[in-house]
Order: sequence, then C-alpha cells, then structure tokens
Amino acid sequence: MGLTTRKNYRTLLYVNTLALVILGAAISGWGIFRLLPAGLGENYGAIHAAVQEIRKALLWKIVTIHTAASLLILFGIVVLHLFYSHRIAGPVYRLGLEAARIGQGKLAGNIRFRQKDNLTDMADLLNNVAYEYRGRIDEVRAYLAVIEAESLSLADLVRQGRDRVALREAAEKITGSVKDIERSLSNIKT
Amino acid sequence: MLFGKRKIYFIQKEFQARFILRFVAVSAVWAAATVTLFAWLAERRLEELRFSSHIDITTTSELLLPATVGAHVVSLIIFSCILAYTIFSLWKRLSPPLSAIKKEIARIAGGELTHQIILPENDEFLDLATALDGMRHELRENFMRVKEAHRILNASVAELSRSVDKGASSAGCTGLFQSAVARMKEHVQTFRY
Repeated sequence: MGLTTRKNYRTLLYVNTLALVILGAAISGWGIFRLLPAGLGENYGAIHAAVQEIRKALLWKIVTIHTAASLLILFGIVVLHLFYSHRIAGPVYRLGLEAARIGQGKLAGNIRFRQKDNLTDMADLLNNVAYEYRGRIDEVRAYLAVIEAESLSLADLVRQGRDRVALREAAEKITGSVKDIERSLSNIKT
Repeated sequence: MLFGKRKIYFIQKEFQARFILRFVAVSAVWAAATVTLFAWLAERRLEELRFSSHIDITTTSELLLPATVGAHVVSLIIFSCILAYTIFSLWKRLSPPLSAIKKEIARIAGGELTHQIILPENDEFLDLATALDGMRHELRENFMRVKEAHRILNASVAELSRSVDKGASSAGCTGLFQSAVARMKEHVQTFRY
C-alpha cells in the first residue's frame, strides 16, 4: 500500500464530508419552507391561487436558498479538506526537510510525526536510512580511531628505531583496520 | 493560514488545492443536481394541482415536502456513492507514486545510491521525490569522497607495509600515512548526529 493513513482516516473523511452535505441539504430544505407561506388557504380558490403564487416564485427561491446553503457547505468542505489534506501534505513536507538534512550528512534520524499524521511508515523508512548510514559511519570512525592510535605508536617505534617485528605487527594491525573499513563501505554502491 | 499548534495548514499548495477541489467539485455537482431535481419534482407536483378539480391539501408542507425529501434523499444517495468513488480514486492516484518512493527509500537504506528517484513531471509527490533524490545524490557524493580517501589511505598503508618489510620505514613514510588518516577522518566528519 502506497498511501498509508491512520486508522479511520478515510472513513472519517467520507463521513464528515457526507455529514456536511447532509447539513447543507437540511438547511436548504428548511430554508425553502421558511421562504414560502405555511398555509395555502381554506377553500379551493384560495389554495389554487396560493399554488399559482408559489409556482411563480418557486424556482427563484429554490435557486436562492440552495445557492446560499451550497456556498456555506462549500466553505465548510474547503476548511474540512484543508485539514484532511494537510495530514498528508504536512508529513510529505517534513519528509522532504528530513531528506535534505540526511543529504547534508545529519544522520540523527529522529523524524517523528504528530499522532494524527499519515505516512508514518515513510518516516520510519527515512529514519532507517539515517540509522543504516550512521551504523556504517560509526564503524568507520571506530576503525579510524584504531588506525590513528596505531599510527601514533608506529611513529613512536620508527622514532625509537625499534626492530622490524614490532613495526610489522603495528603495520598489520593498521592493514587489518583498513580492510575492515573497506568491508564496512563495500555494501554502499556509489 | 490558520492558528493553532501547527500554524501553516496550506503547506503543499498544489497538492492540497487539487485534493480540496475534487471534493468541492463533487459537492457543487451535488448542489446543482439537487436544485434541478427538486425544481423538476416540485414543478411536476404544482402542474398536477393546476389541473386538479379536487385539492385536499391545505399547507405548503403537504404540497412540497414529498418533493423536497425525495429530491434530497435521491441526490444524497447518489452523492454518497460519488463521494466514495472520489475517495477511492484519490487513493488509487496517490498510492502508486508513494509506493515507488518507499521502494526507493528502502533501496537507499540498503546501500544503493546509484539509482535515481524519478517520478513523472505532473506527479503529486514530485517535490518529495526530488528531495529524496537530492538526499541520495548528496549521500553518494559524500561516500564517494570517503571511499576515495579510503583508497588513498589503503595505498599509503601498502606503501608503509612495504617499507616496514624492507626495513626502510621512515618518518616521511609514516607522515604520509598520517595525513591520509587525517584526510579520511575529515571526510567522515561531514556526517554528524
């Protein structure tokens, strides 16, 4: 699944949108009856005349009340979906920022989303990228520390003019650590 | 902009505008359809009464309520179906690029930094794909520098070992090696956490 959302996100999107539209239908339905006279009259002639009056004005009233209700509902739809779209757009924006940070070499990998945000699996994936490369760099740093320490002792041995066995031993340790670095970097395809 | 814990709600303008417009369009169609249907049903009812010799209603509710309820119920049923389809199609549209992006991130985590992340020009998540590809590119550049420094270090270690074997190790030789170590360390320092 590509777009992974929080539980009930889609259901709530559907239900809330439908609820807004039902509210719009209720408002417009109620509005129509508010705009028209409640009673039609007592006798046939009066009722007939009232029906004719209603007929003349009905279309205009229907259009007016529905336009007003629709504008209200459309505003509600815009606001509601602004929030819902933000629960995808916000995480996408933050993922982009985190990617830029990782690109700069900041491998903290501590991207955390808000409780209602979606795409948390992508945040985990990106954290995993930072974690994996941080692991490699940690290894390289550890081996480099060994190499550095050995290089200092090697320089001392050279200065002291020590025998070849001690020098060879130090050189082998360094070679081993350099090979370890190679192993750590070998899985990274550049 | 709305105010609250998170201040900017309209953050990915194009994506959010398209997201919102879908629902606005569906709702606008619903409104137009309801007006048309209601007007038609009401007109039919009024037309019936116009030529009726016997009228047994006395209120507007009796006259128009069936048309009002009928029009709204029918339009709401149709709207709920269209809304479900809109959400379904939206997910169908948004899922494939995100799925592709996830695969690419997993690939990067696995150490593959040569594969470019490319999405079609008009894709909803083009910005994210571009940012992730930028990340991949920068990581690649940084690791290429580390690998190059490692190559130099490896060469200097080989040289050092040879000179030790020959019994001709000198301060110059170890100095060269130490500068290779320092260079490698410098490149590794570009990664911070």
